Amino acid sequence: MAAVPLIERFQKNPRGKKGPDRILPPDYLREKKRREAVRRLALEAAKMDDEFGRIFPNPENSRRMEILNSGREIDRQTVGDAGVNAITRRTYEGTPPLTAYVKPQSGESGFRYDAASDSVIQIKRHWNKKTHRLITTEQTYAKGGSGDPVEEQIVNAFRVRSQNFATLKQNIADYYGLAPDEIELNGTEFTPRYGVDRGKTLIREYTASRLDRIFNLGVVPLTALRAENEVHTDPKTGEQTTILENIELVSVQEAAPGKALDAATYREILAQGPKHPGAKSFMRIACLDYLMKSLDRHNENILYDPATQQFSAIDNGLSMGLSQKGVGNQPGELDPLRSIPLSVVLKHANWKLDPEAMASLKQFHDKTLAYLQRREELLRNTQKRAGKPLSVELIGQEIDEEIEREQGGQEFKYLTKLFRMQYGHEKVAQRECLEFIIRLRKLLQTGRPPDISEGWQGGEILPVGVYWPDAA
Amino acid sequence: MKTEGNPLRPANDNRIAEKERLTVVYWITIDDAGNETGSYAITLRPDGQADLSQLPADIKDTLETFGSYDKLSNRRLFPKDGEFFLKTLLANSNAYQRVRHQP
Repeated sequence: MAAVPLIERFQKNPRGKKGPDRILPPDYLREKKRREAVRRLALEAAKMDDEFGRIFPNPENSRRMEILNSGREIDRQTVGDAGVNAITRRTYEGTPPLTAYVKPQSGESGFRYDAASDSVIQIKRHWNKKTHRLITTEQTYAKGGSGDPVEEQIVNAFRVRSQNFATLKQNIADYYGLAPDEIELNGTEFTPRYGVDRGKTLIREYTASRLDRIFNLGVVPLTALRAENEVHTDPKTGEQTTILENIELVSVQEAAPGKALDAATYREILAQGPKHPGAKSFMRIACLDYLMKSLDRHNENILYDPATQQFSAIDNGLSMGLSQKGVGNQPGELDPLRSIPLSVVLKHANWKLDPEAMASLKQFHDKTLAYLQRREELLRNTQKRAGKPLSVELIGQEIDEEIEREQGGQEFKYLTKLFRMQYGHEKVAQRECLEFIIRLRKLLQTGRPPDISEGWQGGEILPVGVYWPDAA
Repeated sequence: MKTEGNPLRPANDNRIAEKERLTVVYWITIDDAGNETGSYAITLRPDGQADLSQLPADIKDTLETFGSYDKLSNRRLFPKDGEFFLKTLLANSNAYQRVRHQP
């Protein structure tokens, strides 16, 4: 009998062989890596939340965060189509119980340009509860040469993006001072935004929620990241079994009051501006959108609750995208900012951020500045003692330990850790953190987002693209 | 056409499905507590445009004013955009504005 090649044996029985010569199929290794990454990320998020509770103490935030992170589920309802928008509504045990919307990472669609058929293919994934397998469906989303203008535009955009991907990656790498290989950006499966990588939108949801709480804005529903195992319920006995292999990263976002911004409310806020009853929270969303470079704040991602007269911002997955090399040392526009609140507040020159939120932003800014100045001072002193210039890399740890003893810069350090977790690379996180602080300073100078509009036509029904600020 | 692919079994590789024409989606209304209260069909008319006539007036007004923002083409799509308008409604569906294949 002819010997069966090793790879085929493993495809039939991947765990059948142990030992150093074990060769595993690439798909198996990829899946193993994915599971490890999910567990690691959820663990990191939980640790970050412990730290958040220490640095920004707020008993109510901590109580709700704990429920979202580890609360026992007592009810579940399906909200969206499986495989299209796999959102479920859950209720978690607590006093009172907490209702949240849970979004799995696999529910995120990816898009691929297929050169052979000149088409854009939509890729969807979700767990099949019956077979306990990850299902992937690929469907032609738009086909070139169809004559339909929308279809043509989509295909053209993805064709160009696919063809120029290497150049784009090089430009991004240049901006962060890295080699192109170090930039985490999938070159075959895209998100709708250039600077947001596939599979990273849930982390952005989480980051947006933490940024909102750092500045006490209260406009983004509290969100946690969890590693969730599929639970199989035996149809005959009702016995539940946790399937450890089927692990998913999910975002658990507290349910917010209200409904998507409708046309009537939009017209009111556009006409009344700062006099609208919901103006305070609307301006807070505009400021947060500016700070976190929101790329997808259309009316369906803004909620308004007439009872509390509060606006909320949901679906923050497409935000905080990567930048590319611009003019001089400034970031170049990779994805234009898109935000209805930003566009609306720019139409009312006297509309400012409320004093409470301003104080919160200023406190963070001042503490950060004090920390950076203290760091600088310690660096100078150490160099003076040594009698020669020493590199920051050499004495940075020593300085950080000193500052830690003084309990300084905790807020800024938390921010850098948050960005590190999101961007996955130290240098990218550092640069984005710096740009974030620059935007914060600009916001504090005028008490409102700077006028960054470009080609903005007054009176046009939104959304209007609001673009990256000029080099300043 | 849908195919199942097990990540542990690369032999069951994924296949590209043919483009399936989308002719109807359902707009689900919810109450303040997030419970579903109704379902309204948005269909494609013979002229290729989306028909909003079955929707409540406020939802119809919102869709006619804002359209639905398509992230891929970076433009707002309106009922006149037909199938892509339906696709965009599905893509933008979230916990608070629910649009599904099924009622």
